[in-house]
Order: sequence, then structure tokens, then C-alpha cells
Amino acid sequence: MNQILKKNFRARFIRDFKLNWMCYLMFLPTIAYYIIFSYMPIYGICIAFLEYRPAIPFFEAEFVGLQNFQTYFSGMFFLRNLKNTLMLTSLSLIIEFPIPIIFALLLNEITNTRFKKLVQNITYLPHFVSIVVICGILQIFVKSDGVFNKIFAFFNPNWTSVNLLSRSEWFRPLYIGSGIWQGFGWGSILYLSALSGIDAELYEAALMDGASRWKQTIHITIPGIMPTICLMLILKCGGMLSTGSEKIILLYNPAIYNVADTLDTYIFREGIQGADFSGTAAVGMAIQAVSLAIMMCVNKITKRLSGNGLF
Amino acid sequence: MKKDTKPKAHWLRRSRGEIAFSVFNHILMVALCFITLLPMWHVIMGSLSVPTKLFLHGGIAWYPVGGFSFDMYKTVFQNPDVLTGYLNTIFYAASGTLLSLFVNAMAAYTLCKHRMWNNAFITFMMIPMFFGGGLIPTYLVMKNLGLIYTRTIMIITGCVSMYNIIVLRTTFSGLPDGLIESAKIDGANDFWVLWRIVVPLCMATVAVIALFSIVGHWNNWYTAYIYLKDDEMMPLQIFLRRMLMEEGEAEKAVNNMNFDTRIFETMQYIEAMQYAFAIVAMLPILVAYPFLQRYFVKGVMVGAIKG
Repeated sequence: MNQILKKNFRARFIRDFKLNWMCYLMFLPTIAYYIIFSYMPIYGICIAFLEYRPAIPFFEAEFVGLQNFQTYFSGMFFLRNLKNTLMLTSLSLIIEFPIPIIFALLLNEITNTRFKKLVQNITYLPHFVSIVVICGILQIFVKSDGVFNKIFAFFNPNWTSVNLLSRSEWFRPLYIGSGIWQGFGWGSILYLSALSGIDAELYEAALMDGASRWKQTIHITIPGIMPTICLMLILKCGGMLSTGSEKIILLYNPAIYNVADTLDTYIFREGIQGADFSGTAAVGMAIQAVSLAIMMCVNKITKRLSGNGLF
Repeated sequence: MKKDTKPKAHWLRRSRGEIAFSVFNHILMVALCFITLLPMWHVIMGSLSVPTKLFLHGGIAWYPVGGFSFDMYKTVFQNPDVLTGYLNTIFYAASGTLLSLFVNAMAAYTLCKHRMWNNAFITFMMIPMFFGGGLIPTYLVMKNLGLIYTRTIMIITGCVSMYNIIVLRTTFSGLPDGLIESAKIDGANDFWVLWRIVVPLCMATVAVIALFSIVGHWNNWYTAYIYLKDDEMMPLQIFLRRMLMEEGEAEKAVNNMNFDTRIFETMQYIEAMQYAFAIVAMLPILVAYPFLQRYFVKGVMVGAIKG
């Protein structure tokens, strides 16, 4: 049986190849790209178990087992980095995540199409402004003689002007706040498109039954966009351990490492700039594994609760 | 998007609460637009102000403080880094986008018409979405391939995108099969069918993807920050970062200005100078955005609904 299938498969493949060899050729660059830039790094993770140094070839490096993991997890940076990462991502989940949803719901209630379009156009704009500009402008604003300090001093006469980004307690609000400013409009697009997909007849039926706008929102609109919300939630939870280092690198400085240094920035600083490849590859691998596990758990939970899952 | 999902009749019987909500909602939306635009307005007005006046002004620049002044723009354009950065960024954006479209369109065409390996190919592309190597192994692969410190890396990274492939495939699938069959009967092979028939017919989607790719390249500083070393290869965003975040760099630029400044005045010029630099770096996007924004939204909609 197996033999027949195998032969059959080979015959099918040969026939298909003769017919569509051009298609195979056309897909080749994509395969090459994925093998080189996605699968080779996955294989490269094994340096997490080696004592790799840039000078010696990869395959001659000494195998050290879990030592790299041990060094980091028992080191002084692990707890600080983990705490900062979880603080930033959970703040982002609690504050930043619902805002586009609420914004989309509110925007959906506006019936004047031109006004709605205008609001959309304006609020989408920050998404296209580069992160360097946003962080750079923010740095100028928070200087001790910058706009923020002037505004605070205006409302509070006892205010002492400081560079806010040199103060630990200000990093998180500024990070989350600028994230909201940049992302709330653009983030709402997905929900708006989900909202426009809800059947208008449902609203008509609800109106017949005497449901108010609020009741319509609760019973039709929110269930209607629930699959989209679940999908975004799963993705967001999967990224619970990765803050991304791009924005933090632009904002932080050694004075606020105690709140701003996350797992990702640690990897960047020690790995790329400090050339500790093995140690940081181990950290990266641990993050990947835990993220995947979290994503699967959340996927299972949301699937059970609402029937919507990613896979 | 449907214009209005609710029947018009409800306008006639709106309760007092609904009217109050509507008023509140409109005010909130205006406030949100205001908050969104305010920082940008401040930066634009700040860059047009007389620098020394802006320094003394403090607070938000609602109007060009001390009258219009284009001195800072003159200074920025005299800076050789700006030209280098602009040329590099344009080169990376153009070649990166062309390469990306070329590869992604071919992949999308294959997945849309060629059935035998589709599932295998898609799984092959899905796996790295959930489990990737991470920054360090990727860096080492690039390093071992000899790609770091070269211009190639700015063009190649992110050139194949699963998202783009899916969007293109969805669009390509919408074309009638007969079109491709008839072209093949006339003797065209798949490659020419794609470039002579399929892509010209799907130009709208292709343009949207190109647009996103260009913006992505324009705003990308991180790849250059990690993988590049030489100043002559750096994109504009790297120079912008230096100007905005490294005090010494901004001071140096101010001191190179042609009009005479005394040392103690240097500080007063920095802020306006940084604003002008930021505006110059954002200029193409700010200018193009009002005309192109509906394409951006369309692009996301296509991906969101079908993907």
C-alpha cells in the first residue's frame, strides 16, 4: 500500500513538475529567503548551548549544556529585566489594548460620514510618523525647560522642573502614553472593518424589539467584533515577554535602567553591542519558548470561553 | 465600508440620552483629533520660529514665535548628512520595494494557481511566525553570510512578507481562470502571464503594497542601527536620531551654521534646529499622506477581511 502511494506521489510530482516547472522556479526565491533568514536562525539557536566566541568557527565551539541559561537566570539582571518587561507589557495590555476598541465603537456611532472620515484620517496619521521622530520629539518635550515641564509648572506652582526621562517614575507613563498616541487610531481599523461586517438586519430586528442604542451595542456590536478582539488578544498575550527593543533603545538612558531595561533591550545591549552571543541567544530562546506556551494557553482558554481561536 | 449600518428611522425617535451621548461623542472625537495634531503643529510651528525667540517662549508654539524664519531649514539643507541620508533612504526604499514586489508577486501567483504543494508551502511559511530564531542567531547568520556592513542587508531584510503574499494571492484569485488559460494557449509561460496579464490587472493592490513597503523603508532605522557601520551607507533616520538624541551632534550642527553665533547662544538654536530636521525627515510622508491615506486604509482592509 505504502509502496503504491509513494510511487503514485512520485509520478504525480514528476507530472506536476513538467507541467508547472515555471511555478516551482518562481517560488524558489521565497523558499531560499525563508531557509536563509528564518530557518537558519532557528538552527542557529543551538549556540545557546555552546560557548560561542566570534573568533572560533561555529562547529568548534565547546558544548556547555544549560550553563548559559543558568548564568543568566541566577544573575542580577534576570529579575529586573523580567519585572520591567512584564510591567510594560501588562500595562500595555490593560491600558493600550482596549482603547482602539472603545475608539472604534464610539466612531461607529457617528453617523455623519464626512466627519467620521476626517477623524479617521487625522488619527491614523501618527502611525506613519517614524518612531525616531516620535521618541526624539518626546525627548525634547520632556527636557527640564521643555513643553511638558512648562505645562506642569503652569498648573502646579510648586512644580520643580526636571528632565522627566531621567526619572524612573516617569518612564512607564511616557512609554505607554506615546504608544497610545501613536497607535489608537490605526489600531481601530481592524475593529472598524469588523464592525462594518455586522449584518444591518440585526440592528433593525433589535430596533423592532425596542432595544436602545446601548442594548444594541451590548448584544449585537460587541459579540459581532468578539472574534477580532480574541484574535488580537491572543497575539498580544503571545508577545507578553517581548517589548521590542526599538522604542526603548530610543528612550532610555543608564539613569533609568532600573525601570526601562527589559529582556529585549538586554539582548540587544549585551548581544549585539557587547558580543555575548551565547548568553543572549539563551535568553532569546527562553523568551521564544515561553511566549509560544503562553500563546497556546490563551488560545485554548479563549477557544473554550468564546469559541474563537487562532489555531 | 458600508456608510451607515443602522436604519435612518431611529433619528426620528432619539431619546434625550442618545442626543446627549451624540454631543459628547462628537466633542470627544474633536478633542482626540486635537491631541493627535497638537504635537505635530508645535513641531512645525517651532521649526518655522525665530530660534532664539522660541527658546525664550517655552510652552506650546501655537504660531511661529517671533515671525516666520526659514534659517533653520537653510541650516538643515546645508548639512551634508541630510543629502547622504536622503539619497540612501530613497535608494533603499526603491530597490527594496521593487525586489519585495518581484518576489512576493511570484510567490502569490504560485500559491494561487498551483495546487499540489500549496499546503506544504504555507505551513513552511507559517512556522517562523510562531517560533523564530530571535535577534542574536539572525545577526550571526547575517554576519556569517558577510551581509553586515553592506547595503544589501537594507534591501533584503523583510523583503518576503507572508502578509503581502496572502493579500496578493487573494487579489490574484479573484481573476477569472479563463484569462490565464487563454494566455497560456497563446504560448505565454507562467512568468509572462504573471507580469503581462495578472499584475497589470491587479495594479491597485500592488500599488497599496508598494506604498506600505516604501513607508516601512522610509521609517526604518533599526536595521541600519544593528547591521550598518559606515556613515555613507546610513539612511536618513539614523542621522535624524543622532540629531535629536545626541546633544553634541546638534551643537556641532549649530556651530557649523553660516551666520555668526556666540558660544553661549548655541543652546538656544538647538531646539528649532531639531524640529526643522524632524520636519525635513518627515516631509515626503506628511506631503503624500492626505492624497494616499485612503489607499493605506484600503490595504489594511483587504488584509483584515481576507487574511
